[in-house]
Amino acid sequence: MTIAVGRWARHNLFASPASSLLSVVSIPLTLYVGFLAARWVLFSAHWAVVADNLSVLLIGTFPADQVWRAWTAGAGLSALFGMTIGLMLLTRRWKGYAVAAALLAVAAAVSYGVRLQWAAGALGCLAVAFCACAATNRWSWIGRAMGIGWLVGVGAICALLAPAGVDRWGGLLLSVLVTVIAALLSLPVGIALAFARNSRFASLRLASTGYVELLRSVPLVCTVYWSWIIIPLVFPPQVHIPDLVRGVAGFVLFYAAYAAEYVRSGIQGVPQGQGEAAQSLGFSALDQSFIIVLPQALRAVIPALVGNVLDLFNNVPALFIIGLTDFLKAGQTVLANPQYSSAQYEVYVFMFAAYLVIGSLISYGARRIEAKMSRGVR
Amino acid sequence: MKPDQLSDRSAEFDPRGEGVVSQLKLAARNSGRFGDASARTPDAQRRLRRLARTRSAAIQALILISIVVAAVAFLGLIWAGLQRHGIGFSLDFLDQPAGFNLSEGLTIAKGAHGLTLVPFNSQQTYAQALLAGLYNTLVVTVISIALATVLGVMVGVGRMSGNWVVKNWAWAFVELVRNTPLLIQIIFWYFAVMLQLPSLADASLLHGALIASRQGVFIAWLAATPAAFRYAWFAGLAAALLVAAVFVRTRRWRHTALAAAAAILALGLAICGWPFSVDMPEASAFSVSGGAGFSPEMASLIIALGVNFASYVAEVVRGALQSIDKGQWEAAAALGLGHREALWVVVLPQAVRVIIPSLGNLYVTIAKSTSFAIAIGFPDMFSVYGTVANQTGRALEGLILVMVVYLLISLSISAVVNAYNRRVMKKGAR
Amino acid sequence: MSAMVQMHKLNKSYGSFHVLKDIDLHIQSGEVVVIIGASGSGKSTLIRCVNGLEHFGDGRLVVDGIELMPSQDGFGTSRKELAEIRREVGMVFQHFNLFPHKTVLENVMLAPVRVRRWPQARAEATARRLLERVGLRDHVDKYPSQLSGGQQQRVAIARSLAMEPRLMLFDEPTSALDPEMVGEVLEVMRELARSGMTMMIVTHEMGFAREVADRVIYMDHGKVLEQGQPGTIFDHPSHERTRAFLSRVLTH
Repeated sequence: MTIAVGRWARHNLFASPASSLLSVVSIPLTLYVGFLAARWVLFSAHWAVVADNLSVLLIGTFPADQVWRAWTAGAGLSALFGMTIGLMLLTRRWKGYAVAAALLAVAAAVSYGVRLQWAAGALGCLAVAFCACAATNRWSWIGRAMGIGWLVGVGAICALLAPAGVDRWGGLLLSVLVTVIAALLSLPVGIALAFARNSRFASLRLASTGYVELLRSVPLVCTVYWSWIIIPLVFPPQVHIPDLVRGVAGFVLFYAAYAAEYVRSGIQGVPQGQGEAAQSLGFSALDQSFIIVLPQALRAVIPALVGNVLDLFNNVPALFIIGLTDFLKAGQTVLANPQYSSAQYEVYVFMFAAYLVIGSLISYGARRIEAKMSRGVR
Repeated sequence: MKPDQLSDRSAEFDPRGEGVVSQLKLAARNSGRFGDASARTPDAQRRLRRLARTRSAAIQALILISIVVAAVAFLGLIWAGLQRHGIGFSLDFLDQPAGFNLSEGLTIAKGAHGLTLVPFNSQQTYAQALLAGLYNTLVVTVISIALATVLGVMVGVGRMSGNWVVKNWAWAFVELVRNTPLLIQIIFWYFAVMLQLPSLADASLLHGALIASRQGVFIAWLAATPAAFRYAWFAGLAAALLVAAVFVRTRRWRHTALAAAAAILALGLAICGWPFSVDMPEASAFSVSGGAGFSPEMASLIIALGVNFASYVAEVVRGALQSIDKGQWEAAAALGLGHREALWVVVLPQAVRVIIPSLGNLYVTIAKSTSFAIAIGFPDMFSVYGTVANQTGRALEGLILVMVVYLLISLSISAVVNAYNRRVMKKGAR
Repeated sequence: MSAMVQMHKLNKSYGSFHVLKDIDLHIQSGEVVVIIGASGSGKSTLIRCVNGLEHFGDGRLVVDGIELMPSQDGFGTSRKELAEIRREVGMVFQHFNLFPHKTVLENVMLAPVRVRRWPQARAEATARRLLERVGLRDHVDKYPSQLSGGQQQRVAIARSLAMEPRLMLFDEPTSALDPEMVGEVLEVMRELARSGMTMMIVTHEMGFAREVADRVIYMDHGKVLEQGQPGTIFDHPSHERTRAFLSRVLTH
């Protein structure tokens, strides 16, 4: 055992003089930094700040008496995510780890002062996600209905949360909702743009190319701000379009351009022979595009599209320029309160960790999808 | 179909007994289904083709008209909305005095000898304010691109390193930076790093060559001495020789040119004296004179953008390195080349051709991401626009201007990268 | 005459697939050994073990006096010793693996300059001499993509020879070539054998093997089934499977 470790060390850490020097310098440094960080996280940090303000961080300025709506929405989203994950993963293998990790996280949170009802709610959402995942594994028709499922589910969640006032949505719930809605809406627009780019009509090609190039050259904050200004001008004054809707419109316009580029590269990746085979079988051009080419193109670029969704999620904070309180802004709002303004590091580390966990999960998901796809192709 | 076959089947398919004509029609119809257009008469063929072309042209025209109509309707609605709100649309505000100050930024003004770059002040116009913002955006973009590229290549190569610690540090860096929002990183570098630096009084490092303080980062820079003017002639000659060296084919002539350039520079030093002197930053209680300085906002924005996009560059580099055929690594190993030599001499040069197109996209994204500066109060172009829009109410006009400028910046970056890409592709003679 | 390569009970597995089984082999300096066998018999894996491109799980392997250590995970032999071996052992690959971003001359000069630390002038002179020897004097400033497959393979041979190795390994050097170019590469290899180089060749070119080999080894399912003089193996093989293989290969 020690011999194996020694050989591993010799090969991986001390293979050459330069490598040995790097190892000798960086290993103690890493351990020291790690020790300091662990000591801060476990003992010195005032996590109570986070625990006390959890409602602001998670749902922003949502009215307190209607929190049940937020919880239901959270459960709904958990179910949808669970079903999507169930499409890709089998629960059997990691069931134990997931349950253990969830319980551990909740226990840690409670020990740092999170109120029991929040902990219970979080556990409930995780349980819903888990069951949805298992259900999808068991009954495959759920997986097939996912497309409609997402649209209907998100629509229902929006309808559920709307009566509380769309302007009051905030926090992590808002971040996730904006990501999901913008991703769902930008994909069809992106697909339409990609096909328009390859169409045989020059005017469509020109319009599509112009749109995509324009939107990819302009910052997201510009697009969001632009749609925030333009939309009320276009609609008659009696119709009040909430800020959030205008902001989401800006996101959709922006990310549709990126989705269009990914889908276009996917279309180009579908071998020429596919289209020719479809033609000789008598498919019309439209059928050929949507039944033969599009599914293959999408399969090829799903990892890139998932990366696009992650990018979307990470850029939701841009909504601060039109005055919306997403997860990041909520954290800054907490710090603006003089009572908590000294807890800068705690709040930012918490948000950073939350984003890291979510982002890593999404990246991991994209990698798993990619691995699964390439296995099928071979 | 043979004539007897025709007559055999005539009873079946021709109940009214129209005979051969209907048989021919049937034959024509059957062949037509299998795409055999030669069964039709030439006139029919021509008519069908013309019909298809007309249909296509009609659809084309319809699409064009609907796009134009939609665009006009959209603009009309906007115009109506502007009128309704009593705003109208005009760019007159650009000539009005700004009335606010910017913490930094140079703008173009009419000086004694024509146009010069001067710091912005509140008497200047809104247009000049926006130009100052543009200057800030461009400075941050260029430095961030350089930082991201250098750091990204280092991290990307580190990902492929043989040393386990280096490899995993690089992996952790990329995962940490890519999975979290850029905005939180900008805020981190500003609030958690820059503003936590010591104040000016006790912030001197490297014997005064670097001052990293809460009020900004200042480094020793070069200042021209009086000798610089005369030295310029020597420098120009040496530069011409260096350019010639790039184009000369033979190694011996190239070495000669380089040696001559070095000799001329040395001669110039002997005759004129040093053209540059080191300008050390001198810190007084509240300000710094001398040296080159970055405000804490600019410094944190540059570092945040550089570090964030370094992770994307690192992934591009890693992907390119992994896409190189394994046989290249094996051939290098079989020849006895070590891992590092194989990487830098054999694999990385080939990977560069794959890397450059992706870099162009990343650079454009860096330029666009400078717009997040508004979150930390750095006066980049978008942030200045925000102030202008607030004061003048000309939100739409200003935004269109700003978007056009961003479009120009993006197109320029893409054009430069594409030109370099073409040159790299040609050189490889592949 | 010293033993250039000594293998004793060499074993290698890819997971559950046992690709090399108890290989015993001794190759003397100056010998030309040709290894034949069906695909999947382990012949390429065998010669790739000799210069450390593959690691073996069990057994003894000594190349040019340096012992390679077995390992399941690649941590066996130290980098220093691998580098020493690879300086003295040259390899020619099936797909040439020339460096596409360097000219033919630069390809050949690269390793002597960087690994043996020769001055540029000596490396260049050697490179030109070798390229002349393989018949490519007029192509020294071309890039690999401008050459035919046969020419590229000859450059690859010159590139390995520039390191002045004591042993040359050939991994199916003509399998990726169009038939009309096979001859020019075989001619170079023939001349090399005549000049006394120790060579281990994996090939399907039976006529070439008969002509050039001092010893022919037939591998089957990871074992050395039969070895001997080319005349014996090709005309009077003792094993049934050797006969079956030869009849399959030699009929077309």
